[in-house]
Parts: sequence; C-alpha cells; structure tokens
Amino acid sequence: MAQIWKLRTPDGNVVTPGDWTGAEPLFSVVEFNEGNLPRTTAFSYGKGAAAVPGSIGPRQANDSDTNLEGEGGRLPENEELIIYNIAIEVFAIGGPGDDPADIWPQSDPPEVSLLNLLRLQRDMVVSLRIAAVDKVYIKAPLGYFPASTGVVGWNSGARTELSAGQEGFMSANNGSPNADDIRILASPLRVKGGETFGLDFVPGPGQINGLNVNRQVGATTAGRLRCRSFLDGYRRRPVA
Amino acid sequence: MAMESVRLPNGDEVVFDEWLHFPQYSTIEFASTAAVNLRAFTYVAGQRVPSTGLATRMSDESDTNQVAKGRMNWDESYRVFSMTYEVFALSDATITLSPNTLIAGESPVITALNLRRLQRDLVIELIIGADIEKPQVRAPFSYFHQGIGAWAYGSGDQPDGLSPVSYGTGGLPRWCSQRRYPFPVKIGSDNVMYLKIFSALSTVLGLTQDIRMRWYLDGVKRRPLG
Repeated sequence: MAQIWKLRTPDGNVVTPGDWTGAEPLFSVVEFNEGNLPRTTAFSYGKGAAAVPGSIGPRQANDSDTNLEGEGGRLPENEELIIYNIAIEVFAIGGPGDDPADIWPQSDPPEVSLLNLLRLQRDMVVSLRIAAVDKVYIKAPLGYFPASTGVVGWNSGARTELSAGQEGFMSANNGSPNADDIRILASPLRVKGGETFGLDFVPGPGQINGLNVNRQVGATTAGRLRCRSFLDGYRRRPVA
Repeated sequence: MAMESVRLPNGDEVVFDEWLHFPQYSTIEFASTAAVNLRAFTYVAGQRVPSTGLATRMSDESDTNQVAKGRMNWDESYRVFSMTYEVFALSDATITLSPNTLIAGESPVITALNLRRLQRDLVIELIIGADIEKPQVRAPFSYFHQGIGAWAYGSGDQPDGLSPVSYGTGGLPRWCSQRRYPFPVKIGSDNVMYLKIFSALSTVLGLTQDIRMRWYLDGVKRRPLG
C-alpha cells in the first residue's frame, strides 16, 4: 500500500500523517437492558475503567471492551483519528431469556435473536459528537452502521442449548458480516488529540420496546445486549 | 479520501466546506388493509407520524431527524446520492393450519411474502420545490434496495417444531446494495421536500401485516457551523 503523505479534510485542514496506522480501530462497548434506558455513551471510559456503561454489576472494563487510553470521553493528546467508518456489532449476554411472549424461540447467547436485533435497529438512535460544542456529526438509527463482523450460519435442524435441544432459533447480525460492507463515510470525520468525543446511544421511545433478554425460567442473571462500536480509519499514535 | 467538489448535471460546481455524510430519515406507518398515500419528511420529532388505518402516535428521535417539517432548513442543504429504507411489521403474520394458528412472521419481522407485495404495489416519489409536481426520483418500491437491516440465519427448520418462519429483506442488507444515482439530487436551502409513498392500487393487495417504513435519504448535508 502506498504511503499517505497528506490528507485534506472537509474543513480545509491538511493533515500530515506521522506514525499513522490503519490497522487499529478504536473500539468501545456499552450494554443495554430491558426497560427505560438513559443516554449511554461509548468511548466515555478508558481501559481498565471501573464500570462499562449499562453492564451488569457494573463490571470493570477489560481489553475486549475498549482500547481507548486515558480517563475516557476524549482522545489522548498524543493521538489523532480520522474516521472513515463507524461499525457496531451486537452480542447477547447473560440470561438469554426464552419469554413465552416471544413465539419464536430465543438464540443461545452470544447470538442475538432476529426479533431482538430488529427491535434494537428499530428503536436505537446513534450519534457521534466531536469537541465540546456538542455538535452532532452524524446521527442515524443503529442499523445504518452495520457490524461488518459476525457469523454466516448454515444449519440443518440445529437446536439451542437454552431449550435443552428442544427448539431451533432465528439469529441475526447487525447487517452484513463482510468487511467490505462496513459503512464508508463520504466525508471523513476528524478527532484531534485532546478533543472530547463520544458515540451516544439513545432509544427514541425511551427504551427498546419488546426487548426480551432476561426472562428465562429459573434464570438468575439479568441479560443485556452488548454493542461494541468501532471507529475505523486512520489513527495517529505516539511514536514508540 | 475527502470529497472536495462535485459537478452537478446543470453545470454547477459545489465546493464542499462544512459538508458531512449525514443520512436524513423519516418514518410512515399504515395498516395492512388501508389505502396508502403518505408523505415522509413532513414532520419533526414530537409531531404526529404520518399514518393511515392505525392509531395515531407522536414521533420520537427514532422516527425522524428532520429539523424542519416538509423542507430543508434555511441553513442546510442536501445532495442525495442514494435512498434506502427499513421495514418493520407492526403486527404478526399468521397461517391457519387447523386447529392451530401459526405465526409465520412475528412483529417486528416482516415476511418475505409481504415485502414482495409491497414491492409489487408501492410507488415512491421524491418531490422537491414548492408547488412542484415533477418528482426528482420516481420508481416502484422494488427499485430501491435495503442497505440497512438484519442479516439473519436460522436453525434449519421450524424453530419450535411447529411455527413456520419467514423473513424478507429488500436485497442483501448491505450498504453497497443501495442503488446509487449517477447524478446526485439537489435539495437546496429552504426547499420544500417530501417523499410520497403510495399504492398504485390504493391498498397493497394481500398484505397481512401492518407496516412501519423508515426511509433514508443518503448523501451529504451542509450543516450550520457550530
């Protein structure tokens, strides 16, 4: 691949890449339960933070939750990000739920049932803020940002562990699992070192209507839908 | 790479300044048996969702991100490079297999059969400009592809051993499935604009689920400077 020397962003600024990489997307996890949900913000915490937003417990952030350094909510001074892609992958965790209210049976976690995924796509709105001016740089329902990760499943008479082998399932992915199918922004978005930013998740109706992740008979752990968001593009990191 | 300028069919050259890739979306709803003739992008969040045959409801952030009803705001402008949609069923689709009534499509899942019925009968028009009846985009619903949706895979047979399962998407739900216009459609500042969704036959024949459609104009938008 040819080395990139210069890039002009929509606001006219010219960025001269230094130690840039295109192989390390910034990622961050947030989780959602049934019922009313507050605004939940990905990238609002750093590596090792005490609480992953929305998580059970809450639990401490681990290496699969985020790779954002620092206290969160802003990019470290010695980094810079030019975002060409936003992608969101979804997992079911905890008590999977097999609510009789859902006629189609649930999937084994971490697979997400088609019903729950469509409910999430229908109700959840995602917006990206950059800098302290609170200006939204892109805002759309969650499905607009396909995962570009996931599983292509082929099954024949498969059964779930959840139902002790009695029932099948209908699972789904947030859009195509192919890397080629990541949403490409026509105009890249730039986050400078030290700037605040966040990816906000707000359910339009105040909750994900009909979400069903924690009502399996005998289940003791409340379930969640886990969303891991990727900001992909070019990232300047400190020189080692 | 960053987009700096685009030449339009009329020769105008647009130089991008504070232009952002910013989808514009709006929702409409209709009952399975209702005559369909609705206009999207005609309301802002907090106002009534255009619907027919269903109980009225107030819109929220997931229904639309319009900031002015039925027009582009004076400090905004838009270039439509593509259009896409999502479809959610508001009721279940059933099949009667005596003595049982089985769920073939559980809301919000739309069955492939019902989606095909929509593709057959609906026509979509994008109207731009006050008192202008000439559509800037006009095609049957099937012409538009679903770039947004759930990519599903099943267990291989009836999941509970009884219920049939059907789920349809308008083409593979990938953003690159969206049909892209060779020339972008311009919506100028303060221009009146709306999307007309109607059935050429009044109703959608045979439709068995109430429907919510969320339409997207996909392209770049001039935003006010913060």
